[in-house]
Amino acid sequence: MQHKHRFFEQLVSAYANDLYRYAYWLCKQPTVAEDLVQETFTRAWKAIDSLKDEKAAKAWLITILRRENARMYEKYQPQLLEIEGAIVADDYHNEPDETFEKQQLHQAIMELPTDYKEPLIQQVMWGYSGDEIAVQLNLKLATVNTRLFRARQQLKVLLTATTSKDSQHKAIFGGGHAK
Amino acid sequence: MNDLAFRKQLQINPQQLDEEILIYLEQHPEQKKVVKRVRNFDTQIKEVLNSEVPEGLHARILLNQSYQDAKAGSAMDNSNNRADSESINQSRSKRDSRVDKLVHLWNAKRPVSWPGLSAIAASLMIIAVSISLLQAPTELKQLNGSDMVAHILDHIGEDPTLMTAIKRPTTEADMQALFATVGASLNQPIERMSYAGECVVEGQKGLHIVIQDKQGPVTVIVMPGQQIEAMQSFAASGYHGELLPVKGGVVAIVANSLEQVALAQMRFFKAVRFA
Repeated sequence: MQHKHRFFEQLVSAYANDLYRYAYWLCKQPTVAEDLVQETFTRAWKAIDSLKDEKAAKAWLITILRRENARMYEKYQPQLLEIEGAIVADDYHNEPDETFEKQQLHQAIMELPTDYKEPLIQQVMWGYSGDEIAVQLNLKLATVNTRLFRARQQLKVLLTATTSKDSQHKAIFGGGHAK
Repeated sequence: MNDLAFRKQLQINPQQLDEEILIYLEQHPEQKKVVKRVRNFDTQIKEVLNSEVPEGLHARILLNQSYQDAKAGSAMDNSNNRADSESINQSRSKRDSRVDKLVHLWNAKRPVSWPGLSAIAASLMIIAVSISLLQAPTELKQLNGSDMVAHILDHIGEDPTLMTAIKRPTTEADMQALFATVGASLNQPIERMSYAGECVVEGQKGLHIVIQDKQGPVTVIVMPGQQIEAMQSFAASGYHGELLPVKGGVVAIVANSLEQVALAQMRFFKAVRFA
């Protein structure tokens, strides 16, 4: 029992923050994200004896969290945005400059369809390989690669659109004092 | 590999370049700047994804788990229909030991001397003590956890009528201003809050809140000045409570049961944030 409690504490300590972030990017609401994490750990506690391999805890917790999220949004059907098959050119104008506002990137990630966002989060935040993501999301590796590619492409498109709007706004309303 | 394949592969995972890409880069060194740009973009993505985690999240998870554990133990006890006092005591002892790993239970060192408390024994109390270091005077005396608990319980005992009083700022701006005095802000209204006002506990200025819960009144006190390293829970004089570290201060929660502490804590932190 003592070991069980200690192990649970270790799980919370090691993964609660990242699980919260994962939940936040999935559901986009901090309070709902915390509810999801709470529910994830509640279920994890109840089923902790079934976790045979402690190294698999991370993937196990994500699976629980994703299941809880799916349950919460059972009737929600995400609409995937179609993007051009052609690659958005990697020229200077399509790359956000290094000082690009994080807030805009935050918004762009928020707007990213979940199907693209999840593999991106798992790769960038969790350091998962394509194969690991494929297992976690129950997808083929090729599909994961396509989604990772599209996720980054779409982020660039969204950011480019945002910067264009900002530029237009500044051009119309001016960014400073009239001379 | 051609340019299109190179760029596509880069977008799939800019951090892992396979042999084919490396050969391509050797042949086209001018493309290294593309790799750098995409990697920089990935770094930005990672920074943004690393969003802020609510304060006290770990403590709330552990508290919820200990509550679930205690609840399960209680259900088991009930099913066994242990009515005699000896069995009940054993059950409580067993439950306490389960919770003990996660929760440090303290017994108040000094006897309870405030008669008002006995009258509100059935009431739920939450005491939130928040200490803003920026606002705190430099000579502020640092209390240890048990002293803090004693001070809080003393403070509640001073004026138990606040548990039923109805008095709070009428506008959102005034309410935010009140919370701002202890470095806190409200994301949303605290449901059923009947009282909110400044208070002084052992010379330390704070905020006193009462929430009317279904199971009884809830008292919240926010006061500047203290620090603890991690969540500490206690049981004293029939009450359960906890102290939680927040940015620049401490939040303390006291209730009649672990369940009430857990529920009230969730409600409180859903509404209140500390800057």
